[in-house]
Amino acid sequence: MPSTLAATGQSIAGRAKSQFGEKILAVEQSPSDVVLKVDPTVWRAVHQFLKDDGFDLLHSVSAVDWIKDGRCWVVTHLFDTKHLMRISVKTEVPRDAARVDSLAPLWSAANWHERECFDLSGVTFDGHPDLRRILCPDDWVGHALRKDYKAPDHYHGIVNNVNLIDLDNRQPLPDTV
Amino acid sequence: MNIASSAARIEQDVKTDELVINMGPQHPSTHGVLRVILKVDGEICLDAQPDIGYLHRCAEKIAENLIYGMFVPYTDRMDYVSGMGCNLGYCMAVETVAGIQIPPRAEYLRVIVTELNRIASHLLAFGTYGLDTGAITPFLYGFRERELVLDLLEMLCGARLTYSYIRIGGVDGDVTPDFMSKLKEFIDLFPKKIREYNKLLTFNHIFMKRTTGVGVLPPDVAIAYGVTGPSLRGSGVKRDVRRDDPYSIYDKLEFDVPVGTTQHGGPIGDCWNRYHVRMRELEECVKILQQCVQMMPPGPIMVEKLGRVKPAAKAEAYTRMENARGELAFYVVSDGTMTPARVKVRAPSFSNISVLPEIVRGQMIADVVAIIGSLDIVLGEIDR
Amino acid sequence: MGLLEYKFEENIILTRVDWILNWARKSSLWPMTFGLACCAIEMMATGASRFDLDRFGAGAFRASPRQSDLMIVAGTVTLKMAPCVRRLYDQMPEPRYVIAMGACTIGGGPYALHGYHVLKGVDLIVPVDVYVPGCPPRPEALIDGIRKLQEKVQKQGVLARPAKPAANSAQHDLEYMRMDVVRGKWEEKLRMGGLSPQDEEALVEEKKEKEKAAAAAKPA
Repeated sequence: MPSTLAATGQSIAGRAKSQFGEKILAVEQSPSDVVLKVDPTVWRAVHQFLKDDGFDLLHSVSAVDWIKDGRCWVVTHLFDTKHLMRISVKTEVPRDAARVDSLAPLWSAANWHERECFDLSGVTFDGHPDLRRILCPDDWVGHALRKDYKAPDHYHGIVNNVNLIDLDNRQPLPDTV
Repeated sequence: MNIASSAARIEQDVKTDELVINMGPQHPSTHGVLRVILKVDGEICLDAQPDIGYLHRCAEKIAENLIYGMFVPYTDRMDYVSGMGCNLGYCMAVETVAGIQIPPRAEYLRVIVTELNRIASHLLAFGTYGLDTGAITPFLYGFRERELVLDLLEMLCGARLTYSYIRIGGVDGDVTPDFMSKLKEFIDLFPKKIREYNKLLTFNHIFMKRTTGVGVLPPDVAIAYGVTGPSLRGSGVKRDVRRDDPYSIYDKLEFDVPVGTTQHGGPIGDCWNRYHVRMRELEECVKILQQCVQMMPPGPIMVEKLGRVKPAAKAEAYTRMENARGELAFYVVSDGTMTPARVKVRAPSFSNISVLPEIVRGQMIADVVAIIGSLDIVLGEIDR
Repeated sequence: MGLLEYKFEENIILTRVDWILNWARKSSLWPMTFGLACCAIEMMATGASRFDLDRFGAGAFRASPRQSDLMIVAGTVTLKMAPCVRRLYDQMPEPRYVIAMGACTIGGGPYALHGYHVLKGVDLIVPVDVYVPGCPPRPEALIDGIRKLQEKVQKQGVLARPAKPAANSAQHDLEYMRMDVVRGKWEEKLRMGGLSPQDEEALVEEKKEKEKAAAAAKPA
């Protein structure tokens, strides 16, 4: 069901539009919240504006890969815990050069969320204090949530592709006792 | 021989060094495969960096390869202790994206099973927190009642842990009269058991010494790190999605939102408060169950002729719900086909555990175990 | 029983000794707390009040692998966790047994097809004695698995032991968790400000040796 707070971001969206002008590309309404589509150059500035207005809870930072368009969305969802408002900010970056500014100086929650975004979707965050993989091992190759990702067939000699395992003649390891 | 002066002389000669030790992925605390890299000076902790990813099971990638309905069992296995909650979050997100209205009886059934699962999850948290701080009996007592809850859920959907009962469009099967009478028995029996747990562990002198004043989390730090749920309410912030941004039928139900207090003689935001918020939430769950049992209307439990879910292209929804550990949110983006373009799971424990370096400074190594236990994390949803 | 191995022929006295030893071993299988994921909760439920595992002697869950003789791998093993599983198995003293609990440890479970980071069955890295299917298996199923293991233990002979395979006989070349990672030195370098000069040298030397070994192995 649509959220009861879905339209609470309209007033701040209006003020953001008057402040940033044409850098706010669109203001849309999804069933859950108001979505501010912004230019990647004002990514951190818009978020600073929202934080100063009272949006103190950064709920998540995620990336969506659109291979046919050649673009990648980076989406954040913010909540205002005192005035009970919610808003979402979205930007589009090219898939091959997916870079946005980091929000880690603004909210400490952004630290881990951006690391996960980098690990799985390959988006680089400029200004992040410690941008490295968080979920996959450090010697993992590739960004898994990309649409053109191919998982490795072997990892350190262990067979990783289940189609390569002969399931009818699967031999357990010999006992050592 | 002056003992004090010779002791002082020895301390001058002995230099302590900072030591980096590994609280490895396998450790007796039952919260899963979490690795914490501790930097200690003697017994005092200077820094603790959690290292996650040891249970990364690629759920979000799997979602892009399956149709919407097939992903429901995978949501169970994320927060495996409160699987119904995760099922509910995902189904709500897909129903919002696709614009599906579900029948009212299904809403009530969803709330009943989610609250029952919240009770089971908090009982597990209670039992394992006792184990972490050295008490084995609360574990056995908590599991005794937890088995009663799992019996009820098994009667309803056949599974004890990974239910997949809440489906897109409603729920799987209706209740039997047997279930309702057993549920009423449980509702009558349980408040007495909560009092028993409070006598056993909550106000136990040793437990209070272990957890009072340990790991104090200030509310502004908590919100900056994205901490939600009982861990945030233990710091005095009265925020609960069921009250602030109500979903399902929670706007029709009456219940309180417990927050941290100083009744135990310690500060707000310490381990004891986070734990006590969970114990008081058990009472609220019983209240909600009583109201649902009385108010549940008759009718269908699943949308008629749902077929395959196929939302509009570039439609998106970000639904959040209050799970046992905090605010669980699902961000579903559709590309017009029967498989989603992106399912992002925002797990509450992911943000809750990221606050660990802040609250561990200056505590002893044994307190680190108590703090991790009080945050009540489940690695399945952190790593997805 | 290292001293007695292969030193005596089979006779009636030793079959009685066999029987007593195996009875003692099977009645006090001490598992290691190795719950990884959802199956861990069912393993805890098996050890708790209703499905008491202690009545089979297997209720004393030990945290340290050095004090346990049964490793119940309960939950999905991921590729990041695989070196740890192997290391823990190697640290267990013999006789040691492994129960693969749940679908994920048998063949990858629901994550086998699209899961890029999931190990498709724990028997790729450790030898497994009993497989317990289910997702998760009910506590009664786990107890059945432990009973089957007890039957297996009863049948094993003190003397009739197969030839010991080479130490790391698994079909992989997993590097054990590198000691510098375990000791936290690598993280220290990354995050907590610089290694000491000796550790820095040691790391550089280690890297050089690895490169030499890789270069030597290449033309061969």
